[in-house]
Amino acid sequence: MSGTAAHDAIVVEGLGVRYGDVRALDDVTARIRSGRITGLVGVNGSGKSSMLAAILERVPHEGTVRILGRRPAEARRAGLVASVPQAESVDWDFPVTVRDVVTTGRFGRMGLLRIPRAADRAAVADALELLGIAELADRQIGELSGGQRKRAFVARAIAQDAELLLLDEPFAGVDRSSEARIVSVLRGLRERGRTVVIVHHDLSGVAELVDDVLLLRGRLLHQGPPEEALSPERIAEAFGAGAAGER
Amino acid sequence: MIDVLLAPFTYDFMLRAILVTLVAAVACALLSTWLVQMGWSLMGDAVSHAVLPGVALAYILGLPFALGAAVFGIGAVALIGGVRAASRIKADAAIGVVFTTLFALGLVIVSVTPAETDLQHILFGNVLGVSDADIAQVLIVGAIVCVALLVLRRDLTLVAFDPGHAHAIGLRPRLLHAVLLGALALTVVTALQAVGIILVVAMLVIPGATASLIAVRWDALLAWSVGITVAASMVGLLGAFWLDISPGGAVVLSQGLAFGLALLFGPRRGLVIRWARARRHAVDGG
Repeated sequence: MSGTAAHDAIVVEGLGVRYGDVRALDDVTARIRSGRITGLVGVNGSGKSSMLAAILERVPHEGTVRILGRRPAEARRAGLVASVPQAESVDWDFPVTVRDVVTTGRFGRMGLLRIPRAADRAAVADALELLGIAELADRQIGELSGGQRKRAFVARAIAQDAELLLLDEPFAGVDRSSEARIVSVLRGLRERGRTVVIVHHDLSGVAELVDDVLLLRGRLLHQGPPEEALSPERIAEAFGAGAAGER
Repeated sequence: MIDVLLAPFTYDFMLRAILVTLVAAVACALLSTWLVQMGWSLMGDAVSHAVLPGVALAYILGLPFALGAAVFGIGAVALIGGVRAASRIKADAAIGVVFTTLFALGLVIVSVTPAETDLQHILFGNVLGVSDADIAQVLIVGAIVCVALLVLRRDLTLVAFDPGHAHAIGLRPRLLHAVLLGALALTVVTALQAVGIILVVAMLVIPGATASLIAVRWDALLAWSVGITVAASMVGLLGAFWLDISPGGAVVLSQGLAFGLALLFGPRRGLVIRWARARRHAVDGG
């Protein structure tokens, strides 16, 4: 496989990630289509987050990555990529407010001093409103519940208005109402032609949300629409024999 | 009474001491907010000690102290990274090995240098005897550090809070980390005159730690950190004048006292506030 078609948001070829002697991801070749929601699905340790990190070039990797036809560094500098981190990777005690966090989504459009202009402030206010956390804007980020915190990071991605949104476990530790709000926003992004990639470690709700699934277990087991990728046989292969009934 | 209070300001050496200490304290206070929030306090300790051989060699060769300190400060950071990569020992152990070894090298160089007096001042500070050249060096280096940190403050804060997002939007976290470490090496130079190598780490950690007990926004954190360190530095210097005690020690003691007050009465996490809230909760609940 070579080259990037106009409908490909991400193309990876021979992607591999190794941490010391441990191989987290081996030889993944796949295309993630633009304008769709794609789920990276697998058990903990199956290489999902490593694949996301490799796409962003946050970890050393083998193979090649193209984002919207560009090298990853070019795509990042062009503001094409937004990311929502895992809750565990954030210091919730950090002295920033929700508004501060969402405003960082606009940094790529600001000057060196990162002083927000009227358009930036409006985009931040709209994103806060869309995620239903406008009244929490001036709270310290750690004062929010798990679901509200996740909404704040999705609001940051909305304010950034990037072509591609990568979310690492967006529904872990999130209440039902926040999950519903985030799902609604992600579907709205898809309707506007944006590409969404979600790392997801369990099977509940995946089939209803995503258009495509990359099923991982240290390597790519299967790629395809959920009804095909999440068949009982493939779930058993990815998650173990006892998981087939969870979907 | 007014004459007694104003007496320190009538002496040229005190005005010089106040100027040097405040510039150094402000540079340290700005930097300390990032060092504390990023968990880099030990790195501050390491770099401040590791510059000793650089300063000693600069003294011997007749070069500016800042040059020697910057070379050894940045070299220490690179060496720490190299030791970690080569041996895979944990960061705190690598830092401990490198900075104590470099500090010991500095002590050895000092011990074989004929005029030891000036170098002793590097260890313990000599803020009451700063020369015009010292003042010029502190002002220039302090201004460079303060301007760089203030211009880049939002990017540095983003890298400290969420390096993944910083990377995703095209910032360069490693470059910004290098800026912080370079600023750290230069800041140590400014603070050497005021409190000496041994107490520099206090000025690099206490203001940021104190402000974090009070502020919930980054700009407020910077303002509190600078405000606290300026107030504590003045109290320390004037206290040293009136009580005839070590000025460096008095400045750091004042900062420690400010931290204690914030720990007790800070609006964000102060022990008294938390105790009052818990009591109110118990009364309401009971």
